[in-house]
Amino acid sequence: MSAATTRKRIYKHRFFYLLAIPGLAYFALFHYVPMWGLLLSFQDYSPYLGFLKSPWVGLDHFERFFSNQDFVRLLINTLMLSFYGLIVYFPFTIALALLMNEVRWKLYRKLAQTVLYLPHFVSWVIIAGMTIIFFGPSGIVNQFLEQWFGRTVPFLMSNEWFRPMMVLQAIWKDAGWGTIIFMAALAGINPELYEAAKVDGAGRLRNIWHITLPGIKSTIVILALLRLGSSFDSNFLQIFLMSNNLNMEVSDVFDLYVYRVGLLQGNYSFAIAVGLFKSVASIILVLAANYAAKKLGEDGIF
Amino acid sequence: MQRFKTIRPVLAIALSVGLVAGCAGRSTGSDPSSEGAAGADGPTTLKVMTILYGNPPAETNNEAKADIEKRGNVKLDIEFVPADAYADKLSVAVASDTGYDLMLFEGRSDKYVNLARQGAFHDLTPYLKGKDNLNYMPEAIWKNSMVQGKAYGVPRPRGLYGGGEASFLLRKDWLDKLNLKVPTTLDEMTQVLRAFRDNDPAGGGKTIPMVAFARDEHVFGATSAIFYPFGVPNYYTIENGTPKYLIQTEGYKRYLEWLRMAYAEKLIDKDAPILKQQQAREKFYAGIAGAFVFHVGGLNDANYDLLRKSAPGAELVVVPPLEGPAGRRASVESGYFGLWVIPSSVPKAKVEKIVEFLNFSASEENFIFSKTGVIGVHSSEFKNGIAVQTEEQRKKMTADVPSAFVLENRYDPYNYAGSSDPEINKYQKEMLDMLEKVEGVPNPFSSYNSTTAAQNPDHLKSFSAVALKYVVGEVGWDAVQNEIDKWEKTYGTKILNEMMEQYKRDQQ
Amino acid sequence: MLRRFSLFELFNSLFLLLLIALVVLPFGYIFAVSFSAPSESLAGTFYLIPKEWNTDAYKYLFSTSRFTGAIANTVFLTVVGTAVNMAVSITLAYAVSKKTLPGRNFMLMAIFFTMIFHSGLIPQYLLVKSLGLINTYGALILVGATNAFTIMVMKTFFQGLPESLDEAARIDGAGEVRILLRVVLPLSMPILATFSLFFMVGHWNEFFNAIIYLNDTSKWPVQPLLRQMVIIGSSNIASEGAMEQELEASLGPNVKMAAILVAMAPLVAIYPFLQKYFAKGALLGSVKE
Repeated sequence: MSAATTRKRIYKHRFFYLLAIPGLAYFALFHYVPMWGLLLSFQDYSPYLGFLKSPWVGLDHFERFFSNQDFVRLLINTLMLSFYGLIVYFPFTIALALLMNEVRWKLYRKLAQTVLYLPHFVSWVIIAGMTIIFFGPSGIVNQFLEQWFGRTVPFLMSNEWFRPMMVLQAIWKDAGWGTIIFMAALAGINPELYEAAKVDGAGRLRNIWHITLPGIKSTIVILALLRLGSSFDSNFLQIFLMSNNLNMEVSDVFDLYVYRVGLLQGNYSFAIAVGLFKSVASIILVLAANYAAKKLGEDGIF
Repeated sequence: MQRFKTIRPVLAIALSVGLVAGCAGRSTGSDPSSEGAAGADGPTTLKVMTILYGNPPAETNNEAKADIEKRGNVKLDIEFVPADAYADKLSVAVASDTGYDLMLFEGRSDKYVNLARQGAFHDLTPYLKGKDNLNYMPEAIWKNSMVQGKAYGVPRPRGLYGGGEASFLLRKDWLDKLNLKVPTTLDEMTQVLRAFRDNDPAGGGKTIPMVAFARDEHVFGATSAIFYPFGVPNYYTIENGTPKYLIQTEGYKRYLEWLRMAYAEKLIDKDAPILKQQQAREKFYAGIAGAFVFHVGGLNDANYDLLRKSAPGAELVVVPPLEGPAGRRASVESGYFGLWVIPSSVPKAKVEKIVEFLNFSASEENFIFSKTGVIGVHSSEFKNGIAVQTEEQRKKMTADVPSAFVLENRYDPYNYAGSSDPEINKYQKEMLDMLEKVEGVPNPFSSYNSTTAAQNPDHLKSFSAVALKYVVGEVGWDAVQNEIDKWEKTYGTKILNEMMEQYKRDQQ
Repeated sequence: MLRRFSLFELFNSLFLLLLIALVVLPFGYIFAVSFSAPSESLAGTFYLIPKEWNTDAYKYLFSTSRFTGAIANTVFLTVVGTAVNMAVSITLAYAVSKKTLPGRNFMLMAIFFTMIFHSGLIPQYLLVKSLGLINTYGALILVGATNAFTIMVMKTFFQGLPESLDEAARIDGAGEVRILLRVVLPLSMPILATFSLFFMVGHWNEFFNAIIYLNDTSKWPVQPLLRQMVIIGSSNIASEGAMEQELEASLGPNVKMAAILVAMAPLVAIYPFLQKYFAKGALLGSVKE
């Protein structure tokens, strides 16, 4: 493509470049200008000495991080929780949106929508407290189980139950909220398509499969890709509140580890280093997924 | 790809702009002449950053603030920061040199020690000469907070003993109901707990003999009054010249055995492994538990009121240290909570004025002020150590929060005796006096830091998990011993040696 | 128009009813605790009706003179902030949704990277300081002006609009501005309503940035104030162990719960107004090809 043609194209799109300026300026200024912060991971940064005077330690932090005997466990725990989220929470939210969409009675549908998104506003501290009331060793569920079955289940004090409980909490808190985007997507489906299908005598399932799902496919794909981008992150607050020494083998995640290290020493650099690792790993994951998505004919992230 | 060619210069520009901005953040030293002192005798302006608990004091019409400013010849520009985000706000303040004259550090953490060593704070040792009110606090508190023998911060004193988890609090009304007397030995306490369990004084099967919460290598927290009698040291101890960490001691094994027995016999709250400290305390004040290791402050108004609302007729008794296999021993605290530091960018003349104000706020006069505020506005009089207030005055005090402006409090061994009921207050003070006489268990390494420990903050994590499993009955002692040995080999010996070296150096 | 209820619809409604119950029940508990004395709730048992109705928590929350100030601050922050958010997001997302835009891929990559790579608090703070925005609302509004997630999702929606509409409008002689304002935006109401809601909620719940960038407590929005008032009786992460000693258990769970409900109330009130934008096919269907 010659320079002249490119210039002509740019000119043709001048309106859009103009439009993009505020947003791009924002990202450039508030995200890229501070990016030098990533370099702190190669230093032993002290807020007092500052960037110029803090000593450089090269890959020390990374070495320490990777050679930590718990590294693999942290990795597995972090990814497993994200994975659970992707295959349980995410589809549940979509299904919920579809189900709510199928309700004929407008008032009931509105009621469901409004009520189900309320838990989003409840803080994790409260949710943790309530989880203990319900699922703790002396909680309601265990009281019931003890009475009727003679035994209790260590929902909160065992490795096996930790991940399911995390997903359950996430669903309770955010499934409703998570449907909002899908509702917006569903609102954009042309009802004429349904009319036409009705004429053809299509049933409900067919409608969902052939009209609804394809209609929101691009939304699902982009959200899934964006979710993958945060696979190495964890919901710190939720896990911090629910992890204890009895479920530590599965509850210890990168973010918790960084918190402990960070808190004890104010070891800022180490936290940045771990963050950098997470970022690089996430990018690789997303690039791979993005490539796969495009191969399948979808619009990727880019 | 052509696109990427343009990225490089763009990124380079962005990075350089960022670096410039970043370096500019640490200003090249504030101009000394413009800071604060408005003339030889005019009030000094102090820009302070401190932690906020509860309501922020009123910003306008704050009579408490005006009063102390007048008497101290200062203008206070205090920024109250919520504890939630304090650590971050502090980091950012240090990194960007935002012109604070005085900042509160939460404690003698590794972060604090590193910053002190790097020269971030003034060495206040020379300024302390003649500051009677500050020197009034026990030498031990100063020693606990120093770095390399120098005072880089002024500690805010609390009691050296009697605080933290010094004493068992028991429901006296339950003891009376079951015709039991206050236990004096560990065995007697165990019996009392069994009696609580068997007789269900709280009713409805809700009784919890003793509450506790999860705490790493101690397995449970709110247990000091138990493990000290067993001989567990205050983290570190030196036996015959050999340094040991608590998990390596004989006392620790006995303590864990007791916990295991108590948990199996349902003497300890089943929920303990998943609770945080606040939740354990809430359960006790909900009236369903019989015993809680706390301190005399547990009898203060707010606590007692809460308890009595849930369980009318509830009465608390403070149990003197129990006798155990290691005799009667009580905890010794660091004695302070928070360190005031003065950033090294503050000019020397001002440092003197700041330390003066801290000394002033630690005076007897301000000790009273922190409890009464301005007489006539926040309270009517100060009788027997308690402020007498009308409802109006109480409201004004809640709004103005006089104690927030008394930056450095006076050392008061009765710090924890806060009840406004004269009877209870007297009882609290008596208990504190009694505790002073009991053999305290100091931590010989309290003012030292270990690099190995700092670099491996998780060194006790796997041990703690196994210890907890032992207590709840999932594994046997061999597993624990295994972990102790493992810890010794990987980290323990190194850490102990590092601490011991510093200790030996100080002994010379 | 009467219709027979199919089996599916019956099960669906029941399922949703179950979910609603699972949400309402804990909320009932929160509600009950907020209206009962701490002595009732401290024991940690579950109940829906307080033995004694007690409004102390609410009285306490509203007793501070700072409350109205904080609400005013929050309203300002939310209104101006959301306006800025939407303006910046829509413009960028729309621009980047045009597949023929040269440099588009680079832009998308650059935007997406900001979602993955984070520089940390200190560099950001230093930047805000050098811009002179410390202790101003500008800091709060600009620092989060938009985000990669919003741009990505919005652009996907814009891309999903039929191109034929654009072309038809262009043939009619409409300029790009017209197309954006008269065609694209009205058709994108669902997604615009969605992100307005997200941004509004974000501003309303603003806590951390407010603490870091604002120095005057008089400038505080609602959340920091509420958290502070509740903190005496709350389990504070950062202060595990050390600071707990300072805190007296003078406030109970009722204040914590009341604080949540009070903070939620305005947002709950807004949602029904936005709901109509999520109505099925409300808009697209009205456009004839």
